[in-house]
Amino acid sequence: MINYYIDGVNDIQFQELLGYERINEEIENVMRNFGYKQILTPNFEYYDMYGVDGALSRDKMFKLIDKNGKVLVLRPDATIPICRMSANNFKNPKEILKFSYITTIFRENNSKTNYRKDFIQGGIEYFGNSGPDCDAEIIAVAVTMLENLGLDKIHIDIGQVTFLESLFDGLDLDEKEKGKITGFIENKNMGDLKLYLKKLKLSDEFYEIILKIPMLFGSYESVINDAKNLCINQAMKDSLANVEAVYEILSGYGLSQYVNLDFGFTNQLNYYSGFIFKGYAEGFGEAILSGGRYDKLSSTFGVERPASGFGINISLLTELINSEDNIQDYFDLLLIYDDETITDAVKFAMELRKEDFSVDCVSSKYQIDADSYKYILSFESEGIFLVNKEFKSPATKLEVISLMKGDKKS
Amino acid sequence: MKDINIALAKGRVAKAAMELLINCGCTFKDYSKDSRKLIFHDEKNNIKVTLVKSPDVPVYVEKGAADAGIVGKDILMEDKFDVYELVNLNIGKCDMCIAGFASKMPDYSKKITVATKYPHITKEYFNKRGVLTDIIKLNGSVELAPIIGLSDVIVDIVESGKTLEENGLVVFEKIMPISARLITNKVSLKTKFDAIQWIIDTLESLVEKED
Repeated sequence: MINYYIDGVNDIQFQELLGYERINEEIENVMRNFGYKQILTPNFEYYDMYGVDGALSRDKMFKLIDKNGKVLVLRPDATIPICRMSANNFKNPKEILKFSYITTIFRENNSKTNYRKDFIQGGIEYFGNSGPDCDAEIIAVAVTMLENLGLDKIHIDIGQVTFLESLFDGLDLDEKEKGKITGFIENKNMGDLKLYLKKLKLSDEFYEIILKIPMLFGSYESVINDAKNLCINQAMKDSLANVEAVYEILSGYGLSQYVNLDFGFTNQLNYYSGFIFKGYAEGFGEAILSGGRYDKLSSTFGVERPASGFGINISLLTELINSEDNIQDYFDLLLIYDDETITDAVKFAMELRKEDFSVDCVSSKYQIDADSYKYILSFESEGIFLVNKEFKSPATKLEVISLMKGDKKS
Repeated sequence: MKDINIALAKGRVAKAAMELLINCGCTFKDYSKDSRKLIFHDEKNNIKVTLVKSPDVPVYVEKGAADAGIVGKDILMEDKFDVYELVNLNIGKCDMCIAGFASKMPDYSKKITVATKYPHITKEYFNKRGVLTDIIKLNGSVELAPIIGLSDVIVDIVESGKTLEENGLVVFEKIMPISARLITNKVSLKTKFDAIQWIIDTLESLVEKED
C-alpha cells in the first residue's frame, strides 16, 4: 500500500473543524461589527502579479500552468489579490472600501519547525483612508478579536517602517548595505550589527542611532520619548507623529493598554509603507496576527489608494486554543433499521428532519460509532426501542417526538 | 513569576555558557562539569536550563518551547530560524574552515567533493566563489572523509586544530569565525521582557568586560 499523505498538509477531522467554525464565527462577528464586508478572491492569481515589488519570495509559492501556458500561483497572500480586486472593481480612489475575508493561504515553508503548506487566515483591508484613525481602527479590530477569543495577556507591538527608512535617507548607503542592516535589526542581531556598522565606517552619530533601534521596544511611555530623541529629520518626526496619533485614538477605543512599541520591526513584506504591527498572546510562540499600512501597492494596479489591514492565523489559533467542543450529542438521533423496517424508519426520519432534528439512519447490519448521538432508536420487526448503553426499552413514535421536542425547548 | 527556560547546546558551548550564567549570579544546585543531568533549576532567579543537542536549540526557541537559547553561530547559519539573535557571547570561539591533506591542495577549477556537517554553509560559500562541488553530508568524524577517499576536502569547525593535526590534515582556508550567540523567542522577548532583559544585560556586561 502506498502512503499518499503529503508532508505539511492536514486532514481536518470533524471535531477540529468544529473548533475552526467556532473561531471563524467569533472572527466574522468582530469584522462585521466594525463594518467590514466579507469577500472572496479566486484561489489562483497570475504569478506575474506577485512580482510586484518582490513582495513575497517566489520560492514560497505553489505554481500551476493553465492551458495557455501562463503560470498561476495558489493564493500565497490575501492582501495583494484584494488590492487588485478593489482596483479592478472600484475605480474611485476617494471611496472608502472595507473588506474582510477568511481564506486559505498556500505557502511553501522553508522554516525547519513550521511544516504547514496551507493555513486558514482571516483579516481585513481598509482602503481610501490614509489617516491614523484608519490605522487605529485596524488595531482595534485585531485586539477585539483576541479579546473575544478569550486569549490571555494580549500584547500588540506597533512599529513604523518609515522611521528606519527615513534614517537611511540621510546616509550614503546602497540597497545591499541597507538590506544587511535591516536584516540585522529585524533579528535584533546586535553582535553582527555592531561589527557590520564598524566596517561601514559610519559617523559616530549614525552608528549610535542605528545601534539603538533594535532595542527600541517596550511600553509606549518608555519608548516614545527615546524614539523622539533619535530623530534627525522631519520624515522621522512625521512617522512618530503617526504613532502618537494612533495611540491617542486607541485610548478612545479603550484599548491602548495593550499597545507597545517596537521600532525594530522592518519591512519584511516589501509593500508596507507606514505603521506595522504584530499581535501576541500567552501560550503562542509566534505572532498570531500581523498587518500594517501599504499605501503604494494599489497604484501598481492603476488606482492610487491608501490602504491598511491585517491578517490573523486561524489555523494557529485552532491548534492552540484549548478546544472543548463536545461532540457527544452533536446529532439528535441515530435510527437503526433492518430489512423489514426500512421504509417505516426512513419515513419517520424525514418527519423528524422536517422539524429540524438531525437524524442519521443506518442498517443494523453495520457497525457505527454511536458517540455523537443523543438518542438511539431501533426499528425492529417486534417494535420500536429506545436503546441505552445498558438496556433497551420499548417506545412509540409519539413518545420519541415529544421527548426530543422537550429537549429542544429546554 | 514564571520560569525563564534557556536551552543550551550540549557539549563545548554548554560548559562555557553554564560558567557564564554562574558568573551572572545564577546558582544551579546539582551542576558540575561532568554531570549527566539535562535539566538544572535556579530557584532564586527562576531560570530553568535545559541541555539539548546543538541543532535543536534554535528549534526549541523558535517554537517557544524555550524562551532563550545559547548556541553556536554555525547552527544559526546552517538553517534559517525565526528568532532574535541578541548577543554575541564570544564564547565557544572557533572557525569554519576548509581542510584537507597538505599534499593535495584542491583544484578549484574542477568539481571537488566536500564532506561536511554543514551542507548549506558549504554550498553557499563555494557557489559564491564559483566553485563546483559535490557535497556529502556527514554527521560526525568528518576528518575521516579525505583519509578514506570519500572527499577531496572537508568543511568543518576548527577550534584548536588538534583533531585535524592528529589525522594528518591542515587548514587551507578560514571561511568565517564562529562564536556562541544568545537567541530568544520573538514572543518571549516581549511577553517576558523584564526577566529576559536581566539575562541579556548581565551577559552583555560580562562579554563587554572581556572585549
